[in-house]
Amino acid sequence: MTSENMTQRAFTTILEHFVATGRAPHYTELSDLLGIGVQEAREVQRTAVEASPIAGCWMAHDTDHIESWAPFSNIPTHYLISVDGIQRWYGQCGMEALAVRWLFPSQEVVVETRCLDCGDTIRVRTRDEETLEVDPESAVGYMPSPFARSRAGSGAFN
Amino acid sequence: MNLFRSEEHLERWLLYFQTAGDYVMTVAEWATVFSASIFRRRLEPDYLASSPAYLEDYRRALKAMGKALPAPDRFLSAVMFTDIVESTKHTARLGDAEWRRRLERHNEVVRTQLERFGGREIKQTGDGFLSAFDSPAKAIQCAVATCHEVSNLDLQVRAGIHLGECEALGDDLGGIAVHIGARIGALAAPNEVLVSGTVKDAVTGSGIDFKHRGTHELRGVPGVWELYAVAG
Repeated sequence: MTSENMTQRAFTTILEHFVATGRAPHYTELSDLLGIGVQEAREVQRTAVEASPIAGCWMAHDTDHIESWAPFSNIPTHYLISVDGIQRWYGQCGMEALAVRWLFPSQEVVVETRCLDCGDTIRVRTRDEETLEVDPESAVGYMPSPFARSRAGSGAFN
Repeated sequence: MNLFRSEEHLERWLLYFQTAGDYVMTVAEWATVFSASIFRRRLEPDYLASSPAYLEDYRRALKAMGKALPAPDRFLSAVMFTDIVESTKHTARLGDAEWRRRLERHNEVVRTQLERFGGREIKQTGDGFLSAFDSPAKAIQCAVATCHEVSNLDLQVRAGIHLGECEALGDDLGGIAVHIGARIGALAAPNEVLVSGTVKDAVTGSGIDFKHRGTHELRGVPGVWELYAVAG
């Protein structure tokens, strides 16, 4: 059984790896980062998925590959995220993209996406607490339920 | 969870998918909601343990924006967590292929016992299960039987049971009762079925005996908890 402490360490380490590189570590890399065996790392990433609140983290179906680790996605989405002008990250969804800023203190975080109705660009520029710009100003966000699972697969919600 | 250029664009999209737009706010308003601790404190060293409290912060942030939250579908349930003891050591000892076979047999055993005692599999949790029962006594009987049957596979499981109100989250279960069950399960010794005082009180008269296992603080859960091991 994975200890709570190790689960927390794995959760944080995966998130830190996303922040630093724009992608999730493979469990073989996680093994190095945590100083544990490869199989233990494979197991602990699953335990961390289960422990993540509001179903914010998940694996690609039937694999040991991380697909999403809120607020990031490990596969390209239409939520492109730039930090201080460098686009390296993808948001898990439109709302979580707005939470990426908390992982990059004092830096300008820009979310660029497309309207699912017309395909035109929406751009949100933030730094810490401040929303510096929303273009267009009329932009709105929608989610079907604030506590429901938000896994990929439903065309209506992604 | 999507962004649109305006409410007019959203309305067209909702019409296309024939769904409703209960949670619609401007991007600036959503940015405020997504300042709640659950999103802001992700790199804190105790983030997972603190997440039940952080979730309440999220609820408050939504309420502050005037968003009525859906009344959660709550119901009383006995939640049971089971977990294989030292699964990593078994993997190393048996090798991946044999371990996978052993795990599949373990899963069959758990599911057979769940069916026998009227339990409902909620999900697998690594090398264990979260299950729910209408009756706490049935949950205890199932846990005891599972420990016994799994020992025939040269494996040991630990089990934790709590009784409390849960929230339906689609096919999953949520709420503090589930967290409590998980914490109790983590404290159980190999082959032990550990239950909260709530469970013990609820099965008074069932003939199930318990041994007091002390008073514990459960991480992220308020208060102190009397825990009991099933003795027979």
